[in-house]
Amino acid sequence: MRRDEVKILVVEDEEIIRLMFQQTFESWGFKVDVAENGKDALEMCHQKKYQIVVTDLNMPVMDGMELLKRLKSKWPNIEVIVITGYATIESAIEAMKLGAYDFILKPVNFDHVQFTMNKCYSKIRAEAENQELRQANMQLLELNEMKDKFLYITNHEIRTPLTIIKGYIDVLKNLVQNPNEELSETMEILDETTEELNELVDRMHLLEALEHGKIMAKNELVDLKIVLTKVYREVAKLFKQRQIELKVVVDKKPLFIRGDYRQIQLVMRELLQNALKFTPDRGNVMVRLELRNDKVYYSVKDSGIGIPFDKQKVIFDRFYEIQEVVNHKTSKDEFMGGGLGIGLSMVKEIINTMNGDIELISEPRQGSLFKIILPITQPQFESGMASQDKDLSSKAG
Amino acid sequence: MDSKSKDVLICEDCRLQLQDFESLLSFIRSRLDVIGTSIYLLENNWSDKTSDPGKYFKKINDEMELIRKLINI
Repeated sequence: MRRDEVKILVVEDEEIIRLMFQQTFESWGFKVDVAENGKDALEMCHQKKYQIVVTDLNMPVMDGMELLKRLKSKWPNIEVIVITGYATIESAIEAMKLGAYDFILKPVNFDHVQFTMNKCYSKIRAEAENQELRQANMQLLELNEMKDKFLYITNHEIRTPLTIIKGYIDVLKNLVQNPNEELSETMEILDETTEELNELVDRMHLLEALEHGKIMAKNELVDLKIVLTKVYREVAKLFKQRQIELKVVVDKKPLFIRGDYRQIQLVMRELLQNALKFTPDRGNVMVRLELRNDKVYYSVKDSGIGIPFDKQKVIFDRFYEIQEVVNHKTSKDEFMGGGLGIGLSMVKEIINTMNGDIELISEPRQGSLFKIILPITQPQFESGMASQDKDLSSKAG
Repeated sequence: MDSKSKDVLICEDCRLQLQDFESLLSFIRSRLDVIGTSIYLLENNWSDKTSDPGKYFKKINDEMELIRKLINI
């Protein structure tokens, strides 16, 4: 809480003293209102939220002690500082017993007043910060609870009914003899949609497992050229449909690494799918797989929409999607097509488990270049190792 | 105070992520709606009179109802 967010009400029957306090407090950066007596002050407290009330004790209509009692019973968080001209310790003690924060003696020593006000302000600020922390904590708890529930549902509960639904859809497909165009189209939509849901469940499961190091990633000898060929065959048609030129350049040297074949396939496919999603029709995408300094570089460069500079740090965060919702298409093969923003975070987690690196160079409206760097393995030095392949627990995060 | 700005940042992150989970749920709901509509269309346009797909439509709808209840969080 900033100083100018602290509102002070000065209650003093003597105008000149009232004005003096007002100007002084304002010069210290506080917002200040004034009242002539306790009754007016109470009314003002009903209208506005004050953090501090500085009140004289001896006033007509309603004195400071009565005001203090009423303030504390209605708004216990308001800090009340009493000013007493009696110079009697008894009245100050009584005020403190009733809940006053501190007291100021007349004649006023403004060094003392400043010290008291600063102390009071620090207390109010600390309480406000505590409140913010409590709120943040509540939000975190809420988020955690929701996240756990969601992950439990996607990982455990939805999987079975989805499998059953898919099974019955397959049965229905088998029942139809010579389906007409409309039925075929509906069947196709059913297939695609159940597949999308299955994919979501699988991805959430994999991402969570990778993040918590729960997954047993295989440590096998993988020929990246074979993986890329397979991925290329899967996606080439989609690029052709969108008239996006897809060029692939592969190093002639052997490109083997150790890792999990399926995860590497997922990484390669994800980056290509990402390029497809964010490159407009008739754009171009260049894929390179090459050996440099004992490392394999897999790079995907597109002529797409690029990523704003301020978003490049969060692009690998979970659920992050660069496009605006209004542009979001339902099909994941369309330009700025559907997705949940978990693909790139999954890629990053997988690459982390393989001791690799991922780099991004992107220019808004010019395109993006994603580069995966993995340690090379020389298969000739690994004779016999293939049979010794063993599962390694990934250490993500 | 530095800690203050950090606290606010935590809150903003929370809000962002809660929205993200909402969007995931909304993704699942929308796909269930697509499946529901497709099943309805399939049932109404079923041309093959020799087969009786009714029980399968019912089972699919039952499973979808189960998922809907599960994600009603």
